Amino acid sequence: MSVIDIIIERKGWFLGLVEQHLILAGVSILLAGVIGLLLGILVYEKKSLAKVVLGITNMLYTIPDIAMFGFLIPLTGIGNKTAIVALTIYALLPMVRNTYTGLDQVDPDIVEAAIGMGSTKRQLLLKIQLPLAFPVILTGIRNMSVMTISIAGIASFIGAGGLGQAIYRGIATNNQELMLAGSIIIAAIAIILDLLFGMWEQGVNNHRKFKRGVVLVLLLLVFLAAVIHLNAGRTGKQITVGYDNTAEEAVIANILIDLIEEETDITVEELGDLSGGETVLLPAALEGEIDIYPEYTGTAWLTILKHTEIPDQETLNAQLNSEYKEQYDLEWLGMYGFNDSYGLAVSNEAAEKYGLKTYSDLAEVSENLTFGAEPGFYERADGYEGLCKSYGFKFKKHSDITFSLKYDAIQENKVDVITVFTTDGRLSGADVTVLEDDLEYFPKYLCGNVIRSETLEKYPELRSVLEQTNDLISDQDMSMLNKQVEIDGKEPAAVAREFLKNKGLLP
Amino acid sequence: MKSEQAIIQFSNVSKSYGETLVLDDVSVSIEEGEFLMLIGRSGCGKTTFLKLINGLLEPDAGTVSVFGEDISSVDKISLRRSIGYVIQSVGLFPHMTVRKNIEYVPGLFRQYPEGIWPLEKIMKLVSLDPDLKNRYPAELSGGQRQRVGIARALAARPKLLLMDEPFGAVDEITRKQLQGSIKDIKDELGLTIIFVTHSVEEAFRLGDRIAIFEDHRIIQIDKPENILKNPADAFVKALIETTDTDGKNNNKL
Ligand SMILES: Nc1ncnc2c1ncn2[C@@H]1O[C@H](COP(=O)(O)OP(=O)(O)OP(=O)(O)O)[C@@H](O)[C@H]1O
Ligand SMILES: [Mg+2]
Repeated sequence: MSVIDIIIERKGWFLGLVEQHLILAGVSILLAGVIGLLLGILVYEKKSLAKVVLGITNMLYTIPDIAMFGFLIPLTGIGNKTAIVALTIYALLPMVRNTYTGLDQVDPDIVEAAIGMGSTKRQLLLKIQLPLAFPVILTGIRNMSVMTISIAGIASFIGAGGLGQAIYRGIATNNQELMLAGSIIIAAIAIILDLLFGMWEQGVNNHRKFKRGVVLVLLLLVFLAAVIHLNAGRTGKQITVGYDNTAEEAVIANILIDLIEEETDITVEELGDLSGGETVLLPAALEGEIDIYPEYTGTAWLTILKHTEIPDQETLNAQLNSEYKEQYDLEWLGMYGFNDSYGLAVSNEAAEKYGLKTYSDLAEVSENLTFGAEPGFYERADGYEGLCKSYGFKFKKHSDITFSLKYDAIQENKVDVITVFTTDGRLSGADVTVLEDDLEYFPKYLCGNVIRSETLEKYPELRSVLEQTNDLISDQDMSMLNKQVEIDGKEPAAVAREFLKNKGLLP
Repeated sequence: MKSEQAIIQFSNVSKSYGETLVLDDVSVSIEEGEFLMLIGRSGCGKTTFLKLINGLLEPDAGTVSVFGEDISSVDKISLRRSIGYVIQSVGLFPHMTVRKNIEYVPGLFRQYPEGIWPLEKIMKLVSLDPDLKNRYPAELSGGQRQRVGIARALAARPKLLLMDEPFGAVDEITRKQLQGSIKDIKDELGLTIIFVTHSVEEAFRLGDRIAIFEDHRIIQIDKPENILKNPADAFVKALIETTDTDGKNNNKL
């Protein structure tokens, strides 16, 4: 599919992204414009501050953008707020510098004339200095605006909206056209903005045209925003689905979005590709930045609630729900059924030869077999050692294999048993059998939806939609869906839609 | 001292810029309604003298009183608004039309002052075509700009007018015309004018008194005829050498 086709086919989505992008950049430009202007004036009036302020803004400017976002996440969380703060910080320098330079180069004779006629400091600034400095300030605004439009593309890495989402999605799913489409639109916006500012700048020295220029640019921006807003079309009802930047969560999130949009009139925004997983999603839900997100029982129980004992699954699920409700005012609603956890796999050949179905079957013949896992597995207490103790495994030999080579190793009969993630895309179609953890040694990572109680109260129709996700996806299904995204390079949205159609949940 | 009241009083005023001494112990008093011409070599301190009057500069020693009060202790903003100031480099505001330039000082007041002349009248007073009112300074000739500068200084109807070489860039015919109108304006408004010039002829034509600057001082200040009769020293003598009683003199400083 060509870039143009992608843009046309997903016109609505792209328009929405453009709108978010413009709002994100626009708010930052406005903030930086005002703060930068004030700082520039301050620095000009108090020359002793100039070195310090320009030094600080200069330093902030040199922080790499990714690092800047990283610093800000603990302070302002993820999403648009952080993006706006970061973009504003970047945009400050050109603004402060140009305001200062612009004021500094106003003809001193003219300033003296204005003072000599009895202007107050304020009148001097507003009537004489700022208007005369404006061409230089405008150049600053122009540079800063174009820059902000571009950097705003990176904001999606921390869950902000905008066209960066297309790029990031493209990277995550290895879809070059999508990446390209996002980049091209960002570049186009930047170029158009630059041209507009260029026209304004040309008019600025001709004082007569200048005023018309201001009006023209403002009208154009308002018009653009209005058109885009109308096209992006909003109903009043809206929720946001958040998810981590794994193929699995992207597919799950898209399944959720499709189901909700199919069965209700709620518009679903996505705040996706959030790196940092549970450490980011839970705070985002508490902040109300997202309403629903997929979560795994193991993560919630062990990492978030910090339990150490694992009760039986039914008790665990019930307790999980009540603790989430109590502590976070969040609810678990809809368990997809698949378990994304550690598992053991053997080659089909071995499975057949020894009649292996469960770990207990494996224990009976383990003296004849060799075992392979990544080095970390041998170091954790609940890893190799605990596993062997529980089931009484006595493997002939055990070896280190890196994650990426495991499937090759078992295919080439270098090892007989490997550890796997039970929904790994590579399992689908590989010549291996995943055995059943019949004594439930490995903690289960069952995937379910976590939703804000507030959201559920506001949109009670979501309850029945989320309940539909119960037992919707098996381990094998998930592995197959992961494969389509990770190995075949399909888009999570397309994979999700096709799955739902096959299940008869989408027309 | 004359019987008329002193509107400006310099008492033992000295002023230097860093190491450069410009005015040294200058004392002079200027009466209300006077037309005082300042003349002297370039760099002798004429502009400095004017800036000491409207408080753009402060004396290093001595006091300057304007309207009867020591200006070191008055509100400079309102002092300056009551003094018209035509600066040497004209200094029109390039981003404002002729109209906006002329209305600048009245516009500084919290309330637009009463009794301000209509724009057309001010423009005619300085021989400016009122049709020029919507032009920007860049669209005017040098002489037109100078006249806008004068109109701007007059707009708030000041009692005191400081003019720093206001007629530098106009042709001889316009200059004569403007010299005539400035005298009329002065009489009509009862203005006090301090006028810097490099033309001895202009000084003699316009001045009630002429102050001659040299050696960081005012070496002679007197009525034109007295200066002609009793030049203070050789420098003054040389300056007025070819000036006859009509004030015809082509000397320039
Ligand atoms: N801001 C300043 N800093 C240092 N020196 C100055 C400054 N302003 C003026 N001067 C010096 O002070 C002296 C007097 O300057 P002033 O402008 O009063 O001269 P002037 O009589 O008006 O000369 P002109 O006829 O050329 O306008 C000159 O030598 C000038 O170089
Ligand atoms: Mg001068």
